[in-house]
Amino acid sequence: MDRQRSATAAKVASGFCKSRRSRRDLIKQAAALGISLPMVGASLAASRSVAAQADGSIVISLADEPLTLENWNSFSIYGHPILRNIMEALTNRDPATNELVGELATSWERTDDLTWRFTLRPGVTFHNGEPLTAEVAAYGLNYTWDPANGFEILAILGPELTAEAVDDLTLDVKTAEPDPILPTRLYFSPLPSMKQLTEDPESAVDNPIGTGPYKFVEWTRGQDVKITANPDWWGDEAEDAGGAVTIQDGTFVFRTESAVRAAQIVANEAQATHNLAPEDCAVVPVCTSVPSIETLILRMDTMNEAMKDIRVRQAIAQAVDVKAAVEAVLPGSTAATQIYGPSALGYNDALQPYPYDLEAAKALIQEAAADGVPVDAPITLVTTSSTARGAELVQYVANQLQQIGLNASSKVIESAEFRPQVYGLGQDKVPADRGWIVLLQHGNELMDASASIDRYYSCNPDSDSTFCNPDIEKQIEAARLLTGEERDKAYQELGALIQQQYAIIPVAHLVINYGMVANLNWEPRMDAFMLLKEMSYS
Amino acid sequence: MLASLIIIVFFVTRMVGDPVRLMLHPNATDEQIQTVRAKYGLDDPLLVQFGHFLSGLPRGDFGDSMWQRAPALEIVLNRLPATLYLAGVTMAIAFPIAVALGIISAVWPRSLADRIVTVLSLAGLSIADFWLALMMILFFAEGLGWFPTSGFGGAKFVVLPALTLAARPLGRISQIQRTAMLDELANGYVTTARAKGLSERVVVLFHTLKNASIPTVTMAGHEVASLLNGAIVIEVIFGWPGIGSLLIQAIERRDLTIVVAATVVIAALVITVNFVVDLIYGWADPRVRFG
Repeated sequence: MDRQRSATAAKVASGFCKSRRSRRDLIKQAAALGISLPMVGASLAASRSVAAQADGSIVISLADEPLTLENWNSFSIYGHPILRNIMEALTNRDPATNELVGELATSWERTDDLTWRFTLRPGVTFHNGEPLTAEVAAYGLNYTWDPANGFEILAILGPELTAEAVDDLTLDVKTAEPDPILPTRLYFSPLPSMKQLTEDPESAVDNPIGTGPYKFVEWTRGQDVKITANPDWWGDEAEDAGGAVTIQDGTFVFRTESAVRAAQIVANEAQATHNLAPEDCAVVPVCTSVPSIETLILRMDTMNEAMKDIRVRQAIAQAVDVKAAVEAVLPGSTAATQIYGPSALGYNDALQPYPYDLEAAKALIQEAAADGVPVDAPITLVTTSSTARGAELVQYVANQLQQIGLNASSKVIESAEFRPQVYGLGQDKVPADRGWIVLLQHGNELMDASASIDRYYSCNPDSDSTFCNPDIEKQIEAARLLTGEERDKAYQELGALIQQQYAIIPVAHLVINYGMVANLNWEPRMDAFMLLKEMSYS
Repeated sequence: MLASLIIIVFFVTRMVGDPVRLMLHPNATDEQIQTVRAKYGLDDPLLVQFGHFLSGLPRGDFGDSMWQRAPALEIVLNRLPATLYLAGVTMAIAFPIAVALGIISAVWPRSLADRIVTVLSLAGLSIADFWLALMMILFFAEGLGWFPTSGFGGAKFVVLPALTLAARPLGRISQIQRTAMLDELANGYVTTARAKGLSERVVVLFHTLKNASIPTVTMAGHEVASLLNGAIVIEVIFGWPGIGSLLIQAIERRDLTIVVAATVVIAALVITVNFVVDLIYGWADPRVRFG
């Protein structure tokens, strides 16, 4: 079933909308945007500047500069575009099928409920010459997942784990509770050098040492990160390396504005970029839109006096025309039915978005009010400035809720204020009178429904869930232990069950728009990795 | 003034959020949070923290950045040359052009040239720098290919951000120059100079310009100060590695030591600029020196 799910994901991924724009198309678009003069100039430049990049180097323009290049940060969109070229994990995904494949591990098996045994790839060395052994791998994993270190990866991809060497190339990874998807979790956890961490741990911040196809060269903060091909990479002589090094040097630069990143591609200053706005993707030589693991959701404070009542929650869900909203502000994205996308194991194809029915929603609110539910309690739609089209969406939803008789408003807060009020609070610490509906972007990096359901529907007080139903909690706990088809079926059933609780409104499965020069051969991945070993020039 | 600013910035940055909670994962335990707080001295009472902060100041020790794990002042000073470079080039473009336009406007008031200069200066003042920056990139970098779209490097990289930033000081200074010149040209000593048969060029450039320079210099000093602390948007758009873009990242992550160090460095620069402006006053108007 894993394979089936992977095939489904691959099918979704194959829906890439690749476009090679003509000069005429660009001029038309420019005129439509009302900025025809500069855009015409841009289109002329575009036709001029896509000459072959034959010097074996590539510049990749990223939207954000990472704050640290420590290995644990490679789970994040800020970290993995750079780090996964330098560092490797035990497992990876086949970009074509999305199937989990070995990277630094050649095989793995579950030896008991709490233990997974990995066989390491022989002949692998770190960039500092340290050989990869089970002892080194165990040290690296224990360092990365140690709660005492407090790295964010633990909160996003946890729970904690411990690793120990069995022999030189055999590694046991143990968890406190049975974890059927541990190899998937480890795919986001590249191995650091034990030598570096023991001799000079502070250097890991800005001098990452891994086993990957590229070696770190330098990080000029505020400007760029440079990497170069690793001549001793094991993958040069392996058939299952998942790519080949054809580009000698890589430079990652950081430009916050989507329009600037697109301009870099048009001017051939950069050869690939990500996270382009649709209008910017339209002007680059090659625009590729890829389904992502990110889903926009509206999470309700179900402990709030008004939203505690399921009729109020149902009314809120029915007052939002998700399909129309997504078409209007998130072109290319698809309306979501679950908080995880089709790439996740446990995705239920049969579910439909909540029906949009304003009159039914009004009736539900009136019914709840007649029963004494305080429907006039303030409800605030909240998002942060980094959420895709967040400001427009929360305004729209607040307006819809006002129409059905709720006392709704909206606000956008900065991420430093947003995070501590939204994540890690659990139900107990959220004030009952808060009444927030939070628009947030959730990434299911593990491509497994458990990663989303445990986080947003669990009764666990340390989770990000503002919903708790003891009966559903029992099913969540049971599903977590299953494997294969049973697991898939259990999560599909759970998906249908929790949809009827109206605790979260799934809004959109987001696409990521990539721009690149015409002669770059690269199929962007669903997990948003930007691996140079998968790129080449024609 | 600098001392007051330091006190205000220190206490305000401590009140706007917990940097440790942002640094650690959201589900970090109280024990983990306390460990990191202790590491950076954030578990001490606020006044004790302030005492440590004050004792470090004479040595330029603002503490280490929580994210970059390096001395905050060193990080800020590494970014300073890029900010000064951009501000310097911007004023080198804006100031002489603005003065020239102001003179042209004043010498031929209500002429076509005056009206064009007025429109241009108003446009420079009112145009959104964010929009102008994108248009500059689209036209001059993407379209014509004359300059790089963004980034930091040789002389060609500074042109577009400097031109974008120059729009506002150009507008302001040219308007001030025009007004000051018109006032001076109406004075009796100008009439006398003309009556003595001096050419209009000599009257304007050698008699009037220096006397009209005090308000212009004041405005130029103000603009330089604005460039030192207000180029954040342009730095971010153009990927310019100055203090502005560093400050934005530090504020987002509550990297307090960098916020404080950057603020103090910027304030020191602004005070220096004001001091230089005062010196120029003395040159332009001897009454200031002897008054």
